[in-house]
Amino acid sequence: MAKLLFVVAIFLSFSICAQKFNVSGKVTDVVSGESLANASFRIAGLETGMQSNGYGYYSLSLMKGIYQIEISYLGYTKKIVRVDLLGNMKLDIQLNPVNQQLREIQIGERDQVDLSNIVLGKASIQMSQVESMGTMTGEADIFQALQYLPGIKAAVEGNTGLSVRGGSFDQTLILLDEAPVYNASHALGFFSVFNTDAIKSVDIYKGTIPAQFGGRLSSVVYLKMKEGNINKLNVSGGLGAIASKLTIEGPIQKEQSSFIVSGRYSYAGNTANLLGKTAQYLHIYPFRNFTENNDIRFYDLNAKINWKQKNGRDQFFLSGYAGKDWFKYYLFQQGTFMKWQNNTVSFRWNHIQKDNLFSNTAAYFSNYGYNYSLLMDRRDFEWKAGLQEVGLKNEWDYFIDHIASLKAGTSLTYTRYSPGSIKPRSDSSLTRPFDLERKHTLQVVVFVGYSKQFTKQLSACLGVRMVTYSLLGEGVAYQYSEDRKTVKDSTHYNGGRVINFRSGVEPRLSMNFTPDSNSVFSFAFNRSRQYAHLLSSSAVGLPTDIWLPSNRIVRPQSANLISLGYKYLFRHYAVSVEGYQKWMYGVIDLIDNANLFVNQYVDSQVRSGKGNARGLETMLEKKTGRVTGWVTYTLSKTDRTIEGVNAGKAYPARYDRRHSLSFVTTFHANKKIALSMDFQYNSGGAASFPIGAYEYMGATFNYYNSRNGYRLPAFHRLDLQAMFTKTRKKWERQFVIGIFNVYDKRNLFSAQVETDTFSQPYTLSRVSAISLYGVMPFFSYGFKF
Amino acid sequence: MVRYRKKFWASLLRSLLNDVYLPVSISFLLLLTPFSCVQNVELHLLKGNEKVLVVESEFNNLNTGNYVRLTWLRQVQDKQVLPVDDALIVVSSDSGESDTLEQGYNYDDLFKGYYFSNNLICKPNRTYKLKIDVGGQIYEATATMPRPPKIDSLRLDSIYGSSGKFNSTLPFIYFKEPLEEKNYYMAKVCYDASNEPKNPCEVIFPKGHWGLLLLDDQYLPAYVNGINVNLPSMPKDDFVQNLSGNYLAILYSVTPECFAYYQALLDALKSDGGVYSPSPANHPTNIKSDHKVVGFFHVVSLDSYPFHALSF
Repeated sequence: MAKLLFVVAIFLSFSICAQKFNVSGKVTDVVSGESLANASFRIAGLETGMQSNGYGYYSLSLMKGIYQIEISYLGYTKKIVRVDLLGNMKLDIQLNPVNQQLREIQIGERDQVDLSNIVLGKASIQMSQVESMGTMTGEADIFQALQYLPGIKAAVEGNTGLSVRGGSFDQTLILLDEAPVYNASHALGFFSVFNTDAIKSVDIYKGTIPAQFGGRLSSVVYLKMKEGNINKLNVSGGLGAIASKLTIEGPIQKEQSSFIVSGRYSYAGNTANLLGKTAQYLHIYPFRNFTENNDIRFYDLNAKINWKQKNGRDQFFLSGYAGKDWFKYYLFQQGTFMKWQNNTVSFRWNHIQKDNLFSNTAAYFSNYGYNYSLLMDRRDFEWKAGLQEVGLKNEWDYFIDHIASLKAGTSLTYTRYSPGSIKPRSDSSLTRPFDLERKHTLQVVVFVGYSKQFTKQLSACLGVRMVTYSLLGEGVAYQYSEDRKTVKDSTHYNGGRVINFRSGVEPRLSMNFTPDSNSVFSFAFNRSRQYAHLLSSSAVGLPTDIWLPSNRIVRPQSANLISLGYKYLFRHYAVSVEGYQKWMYGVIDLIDNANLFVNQYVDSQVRSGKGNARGLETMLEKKTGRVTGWVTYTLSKTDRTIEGVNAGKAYPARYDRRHSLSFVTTFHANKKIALSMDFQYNSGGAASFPIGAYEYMGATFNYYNSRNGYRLPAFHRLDLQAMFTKTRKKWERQFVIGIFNVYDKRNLFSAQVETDTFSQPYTLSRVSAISLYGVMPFFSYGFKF
Repeated sequence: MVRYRKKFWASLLRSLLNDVYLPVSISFLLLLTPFSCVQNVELHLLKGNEKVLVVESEFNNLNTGNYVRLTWLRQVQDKQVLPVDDALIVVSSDSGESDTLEQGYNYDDLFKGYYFSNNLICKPNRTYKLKIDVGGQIYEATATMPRPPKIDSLRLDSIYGSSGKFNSTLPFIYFKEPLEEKNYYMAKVCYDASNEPKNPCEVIFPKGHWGLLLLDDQYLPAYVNGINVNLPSMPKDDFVQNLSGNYLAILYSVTPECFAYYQALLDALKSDGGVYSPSPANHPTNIKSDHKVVGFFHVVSLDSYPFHALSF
């Protein structure tokens, strides 16, 4: 005990000798009052840097003295503050956004990146950038914009599903204000569920994933909703051919609380019916079988309120998202109708315990559900399934001094999976009601991350995440025969009993070496584990896909990722190169002819094995000046080796594309006009294609010798967009017009060899390779006041 | 406040209408839209040279044309069916009966490769073994004939296409489903022609009828109170055939393996190549061999119900 007291005394004496004061506060946007996460701080003379945390809070622990602190944030004018530090002080920083009119002033400035705090494999994209990028429908889309970044590709061209560094689309965790969104697509993946008017920021982590995030193998997309303008009431909206939207935001109590409500409604089905009918009237061949009464609709509604206590130490946020889709289209699964919906609610409490100790406590609820109805059939049933998740999180940011910080926390997550129930839709239905048993899981996570700038050149971030996972009763654990074709035995577990327990440690490490102020070398190691698997019977993901929690048969997926990077800044440009190698274990795939439809033994349809992904990503970026944008090139390869699939031999993943090139640029001609040009090239993905055919009972069927053994043709597309902004005294109008796929490249959406029912005298094989669109104009109209 | 609102909407409308960009963009949209539709793209196919035997068969309790058809796998876009001649095919039962199938020679070149069983009487609950010898290559399969189902009655109804494009007769069948046992059913309609051989549908038919209804009893009530068995002849089509004349509504009782096989075939006919459907693959088979083989040894039991449909 005496020894312990001695050590404490020594420690305290050091603390007293090294008496420091804190300068702390929040970084916000001067116009809207929105907090700015990860703003960079540099202290002149010390040549060290720090960042504000995820909620815009910062704390610098410094010796008594006079300092010049430089605060920078991308898209905002840099600010230099002189601080005469005599004791602890509170200093809130307000930054001015660089709007289009002022953008030219920035030409003399360099990319405002603090290289020592760079996170390898992290990318952020601004909403203004997303809005300046062309899409097929003219509706700005965050996930389609992310696909222009290196290492991020569409699971299927034209779709919003993300394949990040060789991972499948379910290996990306999508978080909206802390709550996971389990199906982030509208209209079967042609739009993402996030309305750009309601989103403040989007970050994607594909290399180093901070220790507070986990649960998916490949990446994390972290979206934050706007908090609402705290200074004045704003109304903005837009009209488009596919969707229209309206956003209202403003203060509830000036400078203390604010709100935002943003809604979007799509009438894509009406547009499709109108165009289809017109095309049919004009006898345009591909529309010869067009059938009316397509129903493609969706809405999403985002709402958020926040309230700050007068003392500034507590701030509360309550945010919610609700989105729903209706889908019936003549080309897709005749006689069926699908509905699906996502709902999330998050409550956050930011509390400043001490000047250098910040806590965030959050509770969230996420619900995903879908209904699948069989119409025009005496079976006339409705299949209903989904999942609900409730989570509690508590995170602490401890700003040790101006060069080191600690982030630690814990979380508890309960997930209830409802794999499916069938109910008759009417009294005359021939279907017997049927329910698959629900599954329950509980995850407890403890994490800690420590960042420090060790020397002027060397900074590092070390994190560890410990997860315990329990599959809980009530439930039945099945034992299968070796080929998993028959059930050998089953054990029933009562409610609350643990059916399967797993635990894992996920270390994370990243290091930055900055030999000079222009360049940085980075290294990162990341281990991640995924306990929930998406059993998808499609390449793009359907609302009816099944989430399966790990059990005795299907173990968690895990991945080790090593990446190396280099970034160099010159004039207004930044050039970066990143190489990575990812080893994946327990990755899943479905057996041939898998049956997922309301299957009690669905785990028997899955096999686990190894995966491999490696690549080299390069990027040249320009974020300031009249012309902004980037050029990227990625060389990558990803494959799977799974016993029971493709005869146990290695095969490429469907989204394995060797070369990717993208080009995004915006030219701000003047205050009123911005012109954009985006180009994307991806070499062809892999698909299963037959090597032979045979006739069976009068129809032709295919014979395959491998999974994904065929290379589809390359995809490339150029989009042009012009954005006209007219500003009047009190309000602003924005008109967007553009051409999607300018040179009319017929990119492949689906390809197969199918039975040709029109051939004579018996059926033959026919290649059906479909391109969904050629050159396509789009327009939208927006307003703001 | 009301005045302000009115002013706002008026100003918004004025701006929308007067804006020079809007009419320009709408004309632009109308000009280009016809070019932006679904189109087929040219693709080069893989060529394989694997020797794979294709086995098509059906043995049922009617015993009116039980058969096996043997062909070889062909190139994807070849038009030639490659029949297997001079194969030795023996089907035997667990009750000791055995039959060597005889090749049918009286058909067009395109429809060769059929071998018929003339001596074996197949009965429910018996297990049958198939042995095929093609030039010394042996292929074997075993299957048990399920208990036959019983169609109680049939009701005819009709359907009119939503836009008046098509209409047809719909036969609804009624049958008992014993809940205490696991059953898989398959149902279809076929033309009741006098052509031979029949099984009970015409065996040699250039265009197959794939309007198959597959039913797993997991979802069925104890009494199936009328279910339509006239489905589109190809699963991707959206219209049912217009019936006219004498037909049979057939209800099969099939094994779980057979059910899975037909499910896989129907899924293959519905597939879009893997975008919104599973990655295409070879179908399961119950035929075992050291050599490559596709197809299935079908041993099924059935009940049929005749009906007459009037033309629309």
